[in-house]
Amino acid sequence: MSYWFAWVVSNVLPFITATVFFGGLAYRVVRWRRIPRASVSLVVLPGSRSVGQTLREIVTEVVTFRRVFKGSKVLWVVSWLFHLSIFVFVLGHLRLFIDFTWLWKLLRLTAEQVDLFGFAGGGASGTVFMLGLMALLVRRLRMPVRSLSVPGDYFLLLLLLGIAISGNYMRFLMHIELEPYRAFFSNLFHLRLGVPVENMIFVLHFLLVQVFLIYFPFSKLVHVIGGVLTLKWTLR
Amino acid sequence: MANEAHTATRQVVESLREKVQGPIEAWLDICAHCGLCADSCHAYVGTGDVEHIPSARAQQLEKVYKRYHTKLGQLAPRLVGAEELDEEVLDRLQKMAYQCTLCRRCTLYCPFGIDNASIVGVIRALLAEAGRVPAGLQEHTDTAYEKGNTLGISEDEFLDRVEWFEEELQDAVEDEEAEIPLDREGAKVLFVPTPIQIMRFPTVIISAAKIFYAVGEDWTMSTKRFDATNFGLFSGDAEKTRVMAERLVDEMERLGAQVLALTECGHSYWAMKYGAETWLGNALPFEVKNIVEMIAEYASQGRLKLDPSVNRDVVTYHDPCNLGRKGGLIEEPRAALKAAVENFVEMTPGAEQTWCCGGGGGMIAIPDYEEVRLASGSPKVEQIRRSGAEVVATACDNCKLQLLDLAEHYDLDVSVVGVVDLVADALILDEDRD
Repeated sequence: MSYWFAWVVSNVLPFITATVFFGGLAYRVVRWRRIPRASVSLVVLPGSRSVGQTLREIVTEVVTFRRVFKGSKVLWVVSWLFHLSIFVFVLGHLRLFIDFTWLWKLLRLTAEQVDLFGFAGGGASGTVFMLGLMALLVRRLRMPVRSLSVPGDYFLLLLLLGIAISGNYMRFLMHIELEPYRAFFSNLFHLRLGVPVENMIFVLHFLLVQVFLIYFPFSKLVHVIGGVLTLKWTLR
Repeated sequence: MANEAHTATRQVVESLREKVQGPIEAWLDICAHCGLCADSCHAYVGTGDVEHIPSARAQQLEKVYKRYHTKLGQLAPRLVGAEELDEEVLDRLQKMAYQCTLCRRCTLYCPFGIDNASIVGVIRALLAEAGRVPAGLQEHTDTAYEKGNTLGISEDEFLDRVEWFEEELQDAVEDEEAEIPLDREGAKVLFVPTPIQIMRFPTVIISAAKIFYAVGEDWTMSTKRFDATNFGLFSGDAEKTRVMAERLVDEMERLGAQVLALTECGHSYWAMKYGAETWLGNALPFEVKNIVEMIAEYASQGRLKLDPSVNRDVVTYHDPCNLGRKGGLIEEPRAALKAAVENFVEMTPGAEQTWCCGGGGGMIAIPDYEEVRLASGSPKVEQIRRSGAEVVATACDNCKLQLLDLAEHYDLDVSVVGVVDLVADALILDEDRD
């Protein structure tokens, strides 16, 4: 039973996930780029900005969360660290797919040092991510944000919390050798059916991540790409 | 009766599809309900009513849109939070849309720059189609549409008033030849006031005339079009919005003027400078300027001589949303004021981040909303108090009416004047004018 479950999550679901994720995002962007048929004037914040200035403003916004800082210092600390942790662990997960031997050579790091580095970076970002999610959940449960919250908002936070907890469990409470995972993902990328990794926590983690990716194009997560696009409209 | 209501709702539902497209749809999609907009909105901060949180407005529109135009919303409305457009929802939308002043302050605080004013603009358009424009605003819009100006002032009344303005001008500049030109074809500048100024704030027109006189501007007013305002825009009625903009364009063409000089008024500037092009489908063949912008130009060209010592009180400037944040005129009014007064102080947060007065977006014309309007103005009142100003200068009738109401309601000891008035008072007129 559990083998077949792991097999489906590992060999079937990923193809559905990829299709829905990329297809869904493409569908979103195509819709957003339509021009409204009704004559709504969309000049929002006029000012004589050059293309360079607009670009600089967008990059500054994406990197520093300047507008959040302006609005609330506490939320800024939480959300900036939260998003930074995402950036760090997404980068860290790349080690599941490839080993950056050239980089380690360049940095003169031994295999043990790389693992320690990974443990520190992954552990720190995973912890910050989990605490950040909890903080955001508490904030959402309090007024006035509570009044704006819909079931989808809570679902997303809980889903991410599940991903964070299962990830941190593997990081802190299990000893993970990377090789079987690399082999698994290598199979997957080469469209070869393979034997699932024997780690039910991983299977659960992988399942939740895929649910997240499938839900992504239909959720408020589209702010990741939409936010940048719409800043461009607002600042023209 | 029920059938009629049903038809009206169906029309709204159909036009939802047309209006929620492109950027509007994207904004509804990406709003992550983070609530950062809450504390940026004077309506929410002033009233504490969560239905005034900008994100709540977007969400309400999203819920209705989902119900009719997405598969999931049709199949499982509860699951995705889709809502039917019934009387209750229409009422809520009306309150949310018309008690928002479209000031765009929340846009500055939204991490994604979601433009709530555009979203509320869409809601207003839907409500206008459903015949749900609040009383007061609807009447003003109809009067303007039918009689050519919001107060229904006749041409004779207008001429009477202008005659009096001209006498005031002649006394002020001590020149019996000084005039307020009417319908002068080929004049470079067409100056358009508002009906409120003609009836209640006449000094704005007299001061503008005085400034034009001082710099020797080649200007005129029109006996046909003496209403710069666009109440179609406030009510959300697309057709009336277009017609009102078109009237000014036609009059510019008839008189052959090159510059449309709009009086101290926020939304008319935004309407003509940024909106008209979209509504009329082509770029305007003339320049659109606000009077404070022209004053700043005259000052920078050295054409205005001002003596700031006549204005000794502590003066602050309230940025009308449509001129500052939404219009890009931040420096111009300040340049004019700094040249005309001795003690100029800024409010904090200032310039494009300033608080809205709470009276814009047509709210001042809706008697039922008075209580909310006064509550919405409280962040502005605090801001004025902190500045220590004795005089609040501004350049918009809506703001002025609201600030006067706020001063009375909150026992705020300030006077409210137009930028043009302070500049006109400080004017030094050459003795040997030729």
